[in-house]
Amino acid sequence: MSDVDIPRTARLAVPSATALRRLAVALVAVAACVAPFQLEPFRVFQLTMVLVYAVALLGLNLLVGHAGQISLGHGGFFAIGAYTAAVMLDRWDTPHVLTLPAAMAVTFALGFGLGVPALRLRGLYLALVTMTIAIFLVPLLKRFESVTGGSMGLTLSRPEPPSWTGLAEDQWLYFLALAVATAAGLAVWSLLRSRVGRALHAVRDNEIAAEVMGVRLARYKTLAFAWSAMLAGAAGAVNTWVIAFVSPDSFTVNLSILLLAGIVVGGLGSTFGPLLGGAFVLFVPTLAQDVNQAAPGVVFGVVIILIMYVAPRGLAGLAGRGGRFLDQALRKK
Amino acid sequence: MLEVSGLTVRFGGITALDHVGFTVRPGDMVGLIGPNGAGKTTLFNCLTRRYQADEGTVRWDGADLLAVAPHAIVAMGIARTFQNLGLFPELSVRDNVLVGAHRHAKAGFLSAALRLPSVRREEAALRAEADALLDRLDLAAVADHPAAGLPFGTLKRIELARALAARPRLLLLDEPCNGLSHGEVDEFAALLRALREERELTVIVVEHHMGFVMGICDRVVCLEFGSKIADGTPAEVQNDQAVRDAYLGAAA
Ligand SMILES: Nc1ncnc2c1ncn2[C@@H]1O[C@H](COP(=O)(O)OP(=O)(O)O)[C@@H](O)[C@H]1O
Ligand SMILES: [Mg+2]
Repeated sequence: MSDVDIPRTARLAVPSATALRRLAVALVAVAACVAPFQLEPFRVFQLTMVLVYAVALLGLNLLVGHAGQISLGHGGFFAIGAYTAAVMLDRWDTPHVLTLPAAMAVTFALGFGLGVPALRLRGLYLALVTMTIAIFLVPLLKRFESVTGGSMGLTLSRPEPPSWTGLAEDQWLYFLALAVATAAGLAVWSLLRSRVGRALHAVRDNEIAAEVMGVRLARYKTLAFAWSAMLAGAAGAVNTWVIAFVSPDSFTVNLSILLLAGIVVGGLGSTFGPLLGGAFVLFVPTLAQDVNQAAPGVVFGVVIILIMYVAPRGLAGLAGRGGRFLDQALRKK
Repeated sequence: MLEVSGLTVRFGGITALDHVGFTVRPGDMVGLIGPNGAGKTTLFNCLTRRYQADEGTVRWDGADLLAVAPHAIVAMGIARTFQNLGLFPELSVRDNVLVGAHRHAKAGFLSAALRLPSVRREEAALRAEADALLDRLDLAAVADHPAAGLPFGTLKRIELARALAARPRLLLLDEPCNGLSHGEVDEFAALLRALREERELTVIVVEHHMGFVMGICDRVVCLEFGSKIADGTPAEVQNDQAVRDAYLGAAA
């Protein structure tokens, strides 16, 4: 390029950081709408599952990243959401859409109930108590065979794409998951940018000062737990639509641990952490299995350690750093 | 009107407050002094219900303050700052101040998640008020900065702004000049005097900086080992033999 002296004002205007962020969001939105028409069905299914996990991680992020509590039981709420939908489909042939609010109501109520003891506990104690939810659930599901189908689980129908859409089944499922994820994402985004979000952050950063300013600690902690459980339950219901099968062994304690690892890796307290974490939850365990059949756990662990070493604030933090770097590079020019 | 009487707080063997009593009239600026460990912060902690009083009563405008839940103290019109800062480090300066206005808003989880028009209106009003307060306290330039990492003097001002956002009638300041330079102390005194007029505040201020206390307060209460040893005008307390002994003893 020639080095002609261009007057400063004539140079390309450098986009501001917010403009860059908006552009990124718009690009993601367009890609999300185009993707199911460009990819083969199996890839579409994988993206659908990333969205399902992202919804669960939105909930976990609300609790862990924003309210400063911990849960090793979110796999349990995911399972309860999944089974609520499954039992409704199996027993009463309920239309699929109705199973979503039902799963949310059930997990909200359970989350609220369990959030009350969680008030008195912190850190490791809370982690242990929430983990027992996940531990007890599997034998419980096996025990009540007449309703849950026991170890064999339940096989169900998938929501069928309305004919006017002209979509294939995998594409329709993808758009359902996308709609739920978008709605959940917007709701959480709005929540966090309000008085409620500030109160949660205040509780996380300094409980005593938060209370002095009038924040009711008990109320905010329990409701954060309930909302968080409700989002995991919503994810579980959509999971049932997509997989059309539930069995106790899909929801072991491992799922809870995987979800927690997912949000930490994705980026605690960040806007896009749940989405990145969803990708992690879906792809990394399979990847680990492919790399080393004998000990996938080792590979999985090494991947987590590597990511946390390179990006202590998670993948979203890394992306943010990249964005800022780009921004500065553009400005210097 | 604040009426403290017979207030006693014990921690195991220590009596942090021993039958302390005094009254504060509306509009007063009262200095609370005493050597380290005298029980000044403990007194604030009782007034804001962080600590349980073992004996005694606290009445605020006739209401029994010791029966109020900790989160409801601010709704009684009482706000405080902390001796060792109690900010929310990851929140922006503006958001710190907005938490101070928590009790003046209503948005709940559902209405906030749905971004109802009422929530948006409320939020806009809160922001306007917070920004006015930030302007008043010379904090507008750092409004979007996270609280962590700002200079100590600025943090103290942010904490004051947060307390004021609650629109208190009674303001409790715990060592607001601690860590400020000489010039900053004078500036702060002028600011506090002006704020008290503008906002019709009643103030109790714990401070070791005697020039500040004697210059700004209408009345001074002195504690030593949990007991009140003096209560009067700045001049009276300054010349009080027990107070002189307490400070000489502490200095020795
Ligand atoms: N939470 C607590 N547990 C035990 N002792 C405490 C506690 N808070 C304060 N104290 C004791 O009470 C006394 C008064 O402390 P404090 O009110 O902080 O004094 P000041 O603010 O006047 O320096 C000290 O002896 C202190 O050690
Ligand atoms: Mg003190």
